[in-house]
Amino acid sequence: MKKYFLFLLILISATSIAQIPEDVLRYSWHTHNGSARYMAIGGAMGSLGGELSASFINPAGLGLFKSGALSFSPAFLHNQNESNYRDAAGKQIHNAFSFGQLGYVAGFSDPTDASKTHAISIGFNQTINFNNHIQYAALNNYSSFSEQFAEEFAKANLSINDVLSSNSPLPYTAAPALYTYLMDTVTINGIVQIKTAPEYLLDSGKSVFQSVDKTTRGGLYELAISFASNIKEKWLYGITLGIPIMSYHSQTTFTESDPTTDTSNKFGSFTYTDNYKTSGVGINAKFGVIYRPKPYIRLGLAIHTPHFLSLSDTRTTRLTTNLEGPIAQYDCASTIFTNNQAGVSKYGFNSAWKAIISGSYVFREEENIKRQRGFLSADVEYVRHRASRFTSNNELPTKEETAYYKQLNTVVKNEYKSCVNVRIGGELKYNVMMGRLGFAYYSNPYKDLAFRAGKTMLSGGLGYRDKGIFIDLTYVYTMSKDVDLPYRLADRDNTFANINQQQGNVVATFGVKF
Amino acid sequence: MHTKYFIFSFLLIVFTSCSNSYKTTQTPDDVYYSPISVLKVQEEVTSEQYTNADERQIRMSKYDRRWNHFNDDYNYQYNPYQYGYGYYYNPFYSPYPAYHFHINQQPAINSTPRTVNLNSYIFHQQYVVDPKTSNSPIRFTQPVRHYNNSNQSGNTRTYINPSQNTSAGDNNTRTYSPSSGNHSSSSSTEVVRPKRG
Repeated sequence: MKKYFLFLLILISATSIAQIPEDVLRYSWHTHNGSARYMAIGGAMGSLGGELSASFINPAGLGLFKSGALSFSPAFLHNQNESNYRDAAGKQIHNAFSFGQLGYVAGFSDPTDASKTHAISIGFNQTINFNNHIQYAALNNYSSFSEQFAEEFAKANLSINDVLSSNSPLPYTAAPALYTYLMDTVTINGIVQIKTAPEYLLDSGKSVFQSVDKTTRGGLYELAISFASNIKEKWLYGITLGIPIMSYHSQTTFTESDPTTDTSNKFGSFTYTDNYKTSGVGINAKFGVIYRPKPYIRLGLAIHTPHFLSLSDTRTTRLTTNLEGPIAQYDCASTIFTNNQAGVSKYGFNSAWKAIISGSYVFREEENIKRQRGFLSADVEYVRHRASRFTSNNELPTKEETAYYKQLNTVVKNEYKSCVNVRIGGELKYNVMMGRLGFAYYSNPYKDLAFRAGKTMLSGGLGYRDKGIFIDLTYVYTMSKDVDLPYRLADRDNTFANINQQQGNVVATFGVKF
Repeated sequence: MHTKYFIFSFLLIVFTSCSNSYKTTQTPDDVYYSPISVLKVQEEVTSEQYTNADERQIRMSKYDRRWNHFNDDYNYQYNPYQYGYGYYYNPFYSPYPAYHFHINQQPAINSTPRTVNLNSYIFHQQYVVDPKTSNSPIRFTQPVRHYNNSNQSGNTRTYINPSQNTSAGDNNTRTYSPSSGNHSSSSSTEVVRPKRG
């Protein structure tokens, strides 16, 4: 009875031992997204204001509104990824629609103080668009994807029967690998070891052919309610309370095969499919202030708290192994190790916090639109990626859970660094027509010098504003560099793919003034 | 995808049908200058909308018996929970029998998280020497990892020998060493592997 109780405790303790360090960048290292005007000026909205997107950057900027506006910004994405994995090149194309931004803002004068005006807004924005597809393939003569299963199983100190159970502690990885004989025990020099089938090929000096196909969908959406005050046209203050909504779906298929025609080396191929969905909601806040020393100069400061998210992962995997034996193929889904249903794990995550300082210069800040000429604006953003934290959802986390979180958060702290991002943009205005240009750079968040990463955005757009409506159209060209590790091993050098992404983003905004 | 097209089309129609007060005047640009909006209050009152206090009281008395009782300061007999002689409203009473529904016991949801071997993230310290003095003093240390990103690299695969296990806490040599006997629980049954060929 005591044994059952102990095992139950182990299972309970695993309920929210959390996820992997790479999740941090997925939710924190992203480019800006919003209305067409905001995108066209490179996202430099920190001090400019007078735009619904200010709600998501510096809510003090909403204080410039003294009347109402309603706008909607759909977008279309075209992704082209070029990969380089172990000296082999690949190319993929992926298109997707995006909801962009939708919102309403209303400005009004203070009934008790004529020197003050206020504005409230409600907005919905797709902060991150996860739609993407990467693919790479190459020969590997050094390591196998399956070796991570062997490492994990050895480290867990569990027996085969422990793992091969209907409610397994390693249901997505080691259990399917043991079930399909991709991994098994073998006695070498009197020591029982854990070995995977591709290792026999690699140990004999040959290579395996590896292929990765990863499709991601969904987004991080945010519902924001903002309030801003404008005091004597000199000081503007604002606050946004946001509800971030996470919907991320990842499907990765990893295939490894014997490139030779030899049918006696105990390994033919395996295909491992990992399918998981991360969903959840949270809360965040943004505080901002804008100071106008002169009517045409605006200086801004904004602080973004982390997204305090409560997330759950719903996961299934499938493994098909071909061992070139009398029984050639074994196949299993992880659901037979998770009580015939998808597994669900719940945890908490706090993303990176941000601080933005900004300045802008407005040419001819006048009521008559025929005399308005344009503006220049720039933001410098500090993002503390290494401050991201995974937390337990349990009220009383166990010692094992606490130790794992401590190690995970230490890895996050050591793996990522704080980033300084720059956004610059401007607009030229002639009567009811506007032309815009922008630039943004998001710096490398990795501490590891081997990982080359960064995102550069170039943007341009046109705007029309007359007869109570406004229409903006923008094209954003984004060049991104990043790395993707198909698997991680502790006892061997790792390998990774370099991913170069070219992204074309067409954003349109339709708006009405009230 | 069709849902997205539908939502886009719907929002577009909503936006194009919105009326605004700037159709004939300059449309303000709030980035440059935002005029204070003046709310136009429609003062017209039709004859049907016109009511006085007495009429309102008569209407309320007619349509809401309970409001009428509350409004009558001299009606001490009124009890809002009483209906009919000797009957009282009981919020906990139901004329229908209560049933205990049978709840199907679902199998426990497996809550194993996505994890990775965190030891694979460990950095090694690399000492960087002053290039002028070539070997000493050490200028600074920087964290590095070694990667194998090419099949032509000199770093060839080596067999992991169990006897080289020097780490006390981590089983990085992939030996099979279950810590105890079989774990099992009442909520878990053994999954039998297919016979190996």
